[in-house]
Amino acid sequence: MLEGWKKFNFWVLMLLVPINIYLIFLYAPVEKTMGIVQKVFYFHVASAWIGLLAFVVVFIASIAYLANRKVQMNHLALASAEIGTLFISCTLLTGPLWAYPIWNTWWTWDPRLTTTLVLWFMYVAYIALQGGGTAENRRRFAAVYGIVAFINVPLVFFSARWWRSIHPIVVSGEGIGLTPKMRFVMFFSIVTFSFLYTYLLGLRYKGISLAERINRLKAELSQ
Amino acid sequence: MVFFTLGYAVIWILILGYTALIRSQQSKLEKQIVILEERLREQERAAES
Repeated sequence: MLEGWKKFNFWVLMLLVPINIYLIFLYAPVEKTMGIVQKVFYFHVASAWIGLLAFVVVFIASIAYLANRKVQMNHLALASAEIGTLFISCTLLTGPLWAYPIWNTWWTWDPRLTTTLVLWFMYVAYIALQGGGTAENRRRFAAVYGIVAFINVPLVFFSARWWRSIHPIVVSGEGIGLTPKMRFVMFFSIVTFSFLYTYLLGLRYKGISLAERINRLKAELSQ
Repeated sequence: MVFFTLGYAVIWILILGYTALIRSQQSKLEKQIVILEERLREQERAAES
């Protein structure tokens, strides 16, 4: 079933990615004050959303692991944490590329930027934690850490609303501050990145399961 | 245009690089599993005889 889903996902991506490139480069209008650099926004926002979604999956899978001790839940949490960290890395790298021409600085210790950087460090630590210790202890500690680290996810989302922040807020209680064409491209990018996330999740989950099987086979051989 | 192109390139280099890395890791693991299973079968055959 996983293989079938992966194939489906792959072909959907083959369709969505070129359309997304076309929409970003040619369909989305150029913003009047910021110019073409505003288009960084379409993949910056999409990767941030998918990064946060990935950490929601880590949180849920960690709770599920502690509740029923199924190893698959631990594998799912680890795979999702890795991919979430990848997407948050994309967010942290593309943000300064937009900020420099607009804010005239690569980085500022703004609440949104700072909480996102802290989030990135927390999940790098989670991945490192999954790499050490005995199998059962490692999984249990990682699950607890995966739940505790999740506290930073809503902080990142609400930081620009709760504290004085210069980071733009696109989706607020007053609606979405974008033209219809820009809004369509933003949602299309989020959908494309969601498929990318599920595709990578399937790949990485299989890789972690294979590594676990190798450990079992090695243990059997050494008996 | 430079910053926009750089941003776009960063995203795809990271994503495609990561995909290539996990795909190559996966194929190595699959090969390793075949070898280990073969060794395990040999060990079982040796124990039986």
